[in-house]
Amino acid sequence: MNPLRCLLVLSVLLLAASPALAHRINIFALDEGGEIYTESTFAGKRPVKHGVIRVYNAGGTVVFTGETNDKGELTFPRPEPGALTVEVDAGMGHKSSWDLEPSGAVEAPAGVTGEPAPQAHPVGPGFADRDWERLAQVVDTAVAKALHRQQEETRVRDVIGGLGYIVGLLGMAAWVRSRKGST
Amino acid sequence: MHISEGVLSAPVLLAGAAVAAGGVAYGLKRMDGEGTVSAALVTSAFFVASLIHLNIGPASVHLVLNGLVGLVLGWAAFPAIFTGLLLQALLFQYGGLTTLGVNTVVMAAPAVAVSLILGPLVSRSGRVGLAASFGCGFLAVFISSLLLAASLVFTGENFTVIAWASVVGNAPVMVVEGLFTAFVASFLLRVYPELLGGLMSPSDGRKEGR
Repeated sequence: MNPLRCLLVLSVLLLAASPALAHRINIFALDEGGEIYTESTFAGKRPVKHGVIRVYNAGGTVVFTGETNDKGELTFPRPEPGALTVEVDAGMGHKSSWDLEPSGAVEAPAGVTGEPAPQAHPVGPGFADRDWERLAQVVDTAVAKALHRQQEETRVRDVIGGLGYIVGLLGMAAWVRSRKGST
Repeated sequence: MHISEGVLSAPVLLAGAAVAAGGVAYGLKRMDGEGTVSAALVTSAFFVASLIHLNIGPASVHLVLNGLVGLVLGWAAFPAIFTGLLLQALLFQYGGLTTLGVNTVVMAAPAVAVSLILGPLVSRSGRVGLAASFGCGFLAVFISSLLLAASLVFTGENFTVIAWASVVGNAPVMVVEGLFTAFVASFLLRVYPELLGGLMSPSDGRKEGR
């Protein structure tokens, strides 16, 4: 029986099962105009249910503590305008964090949604400046969420790449050994 | 099983890294020509195993395969698991680079332990061999959960509570690993006994070296 056959059998055994989640943990946080939306998942898009969310300010002080719901989400009002770090802790050494920029650049939400839309400077039929700003914000949010979800997935090419590294290391080991043997 | 970045304190991380470095160095020293090939094969299996998840009731767990790695490689489990974890950290963001040492110890030390204790029994025919290989898979994960709990103690969690949670949480993995290891070991003993040769008698495993 040769090693090749053995490798083949091992690969078949491993490929027979469905590749998906392990215990990588991931958090995504987004400032939606004063409300911070967070989404915590394990690899394979399994939600972190009842994980502890802690928010730190730039000084490292905890400014907010909460718990994720059954979908792994938690939305809460922004505790302070400065830079924040949102951390999720699912216990057993599973922890991850996401940095949020200061909210200075983003317009206060009350001004955007609360006031009646001013008609003085229309930029398009039926739309005011502020509506466009709000629309841009909504689109940014949606794109950021979608991109993040896509990047979270374990990709087949990473798996293949990892196996390639192992073969490469084997080659290096064999080379080192052969040099040792010849000298 | 994979401890994330930013959970453990510096002394724990450093201690883990030191033990892991020692284990990797010793494992590499013990590895001979054919052993390198087996190590690469088993490392590949270990690397991919964490992506395979099984839904058992409400829990969703993934295989670790450290018992199998130990069974086949003995001390070389340290470099094999280190390599597997490094690639998992880089490519899948499992665990992290700073916790690599601790994670290596948590998974590799039990692998070496079961291979030293149960390894010689695995090649026995019949029930003894099967039970021993089941034990390898089962115990490796069991000891790993205890080590995981132990490394988390220093973060201020209560040991009894966290050890209990860790063992209970990983109980399904232990059973699955035991069955899987027993299956693979009996298969290897039938078709490719050389792969497990290092364990049966130390002279057998070393004869082709140099």
